[in-house]
Amino acid sequence: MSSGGVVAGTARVRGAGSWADHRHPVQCIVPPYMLEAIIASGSEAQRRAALEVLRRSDLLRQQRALAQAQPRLDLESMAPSVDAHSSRRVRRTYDARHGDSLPGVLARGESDGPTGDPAVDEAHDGAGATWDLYWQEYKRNSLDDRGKIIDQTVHYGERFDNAFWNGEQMVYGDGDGEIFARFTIDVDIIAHELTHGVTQYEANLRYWYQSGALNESFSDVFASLVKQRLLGQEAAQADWLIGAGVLLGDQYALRSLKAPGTAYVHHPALGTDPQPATMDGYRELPAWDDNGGVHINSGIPNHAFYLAAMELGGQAWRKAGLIWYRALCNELDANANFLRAAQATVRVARAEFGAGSVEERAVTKAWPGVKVL
Amino acid sequence: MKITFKQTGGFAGVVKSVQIDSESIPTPERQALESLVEGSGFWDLSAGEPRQMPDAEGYFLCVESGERSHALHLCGPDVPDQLRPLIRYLAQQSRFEKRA
Repeated sequence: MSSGGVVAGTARVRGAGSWADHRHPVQCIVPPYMLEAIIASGSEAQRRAALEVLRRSDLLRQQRALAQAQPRLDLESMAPSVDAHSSRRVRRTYDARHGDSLPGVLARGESDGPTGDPAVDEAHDGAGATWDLYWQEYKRNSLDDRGKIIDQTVHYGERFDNAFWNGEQMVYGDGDGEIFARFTIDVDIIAHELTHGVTQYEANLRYWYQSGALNESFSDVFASLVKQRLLGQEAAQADWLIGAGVLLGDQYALRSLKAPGTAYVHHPALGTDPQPATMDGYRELPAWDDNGGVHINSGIPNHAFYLAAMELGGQAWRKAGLIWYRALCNELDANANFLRAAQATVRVARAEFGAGSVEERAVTKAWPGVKVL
Repeated sequence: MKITFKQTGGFAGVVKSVQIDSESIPTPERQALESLVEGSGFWDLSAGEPRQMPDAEGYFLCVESGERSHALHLCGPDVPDQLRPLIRYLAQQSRFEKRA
């Protein structure tokens, strides 16, 4: 999808944190499809005008980004695109130097080579692989589908056992070195965090209870797909694990889409993976406990995706991933629950592949497999 | 003073916790802890709903002291500056908890 133009008009309104919150009040958007239609079919003068709108929109956006950037950013690398159908991946990785001030010091820009700092380079490369999946498979231009610069900060805090998305950027700790390694060590962690950004700009699933567990699940699903695509794996070859490197010990990972509840067993500090695979194990938790168990109950929609992907076979991002992506972008709202997610994915499968198709049947079968339908 | 502290959420979704009864710890530590609590302005902080930030750690902090009792649910990155020393102390005292 191409970027919108800077002309009077109306924008498609989605939830908070989505398009509605990310338009400047004097820069209403001509819908991209109108610009594309003009570029495809308009007169030469109309085409030039539409392309100029896009160029100015890109330039304004990148000028705002430059204003926030460190002085040593390479301005040449920020040249705007004038082709409505192109996109440009821009990554900035910062070093918090063990403090908690964000974003920190710029450590690697888009056109910079490897730094030798594993956390910086892993974050940079992982963001690249994630951007590549979304653009090359789903034609999504970065997190906001408008070329948002991907900002990430590593070496956050001291022995910080976490990674998170703060609404604007990703943040990664180095781990304590005893239970957890650095949180950039797995490409799926990076893809998971970036996908929280995608979700924010699309369904904006509220981060608690079932909508929060769905939010978590979409992040785990696309995290796994980024990893599988990077490794050139089909569904049957994948390990379907999240965080296999960050939890120290070869026998441990953090989550499993294939077998929720088995990612770590009898860990000396953490015990056993609490994720349920079906609604039989759904945990009713209070808001103060993991926002109602979003990292626990995500096992259920995670497993539904695994079942659909395995039923379809092949490269999981092509069909099952496409269905899940379209559901996230076009069907779900901020308060969606598991049942509505199930219904949405079935609808999408039918719309994309046809009523009675193999794809619709696979998705229709997956959700009863986790006892949601 | 009785303190219940739990850290949940985060990318890994694991739990760390500690419970402290100030009567059962040495006097210097008890005084330091009470000073941290009073200096944090904890009793005056609003118990409203925290910001929803994906994979941020969440803190549950409950303090009971005499007739007073107050509990907060906080989003880690949003902890007010004056509360950070107390949170840092409690996080250092916390241990991973195996979920039932």
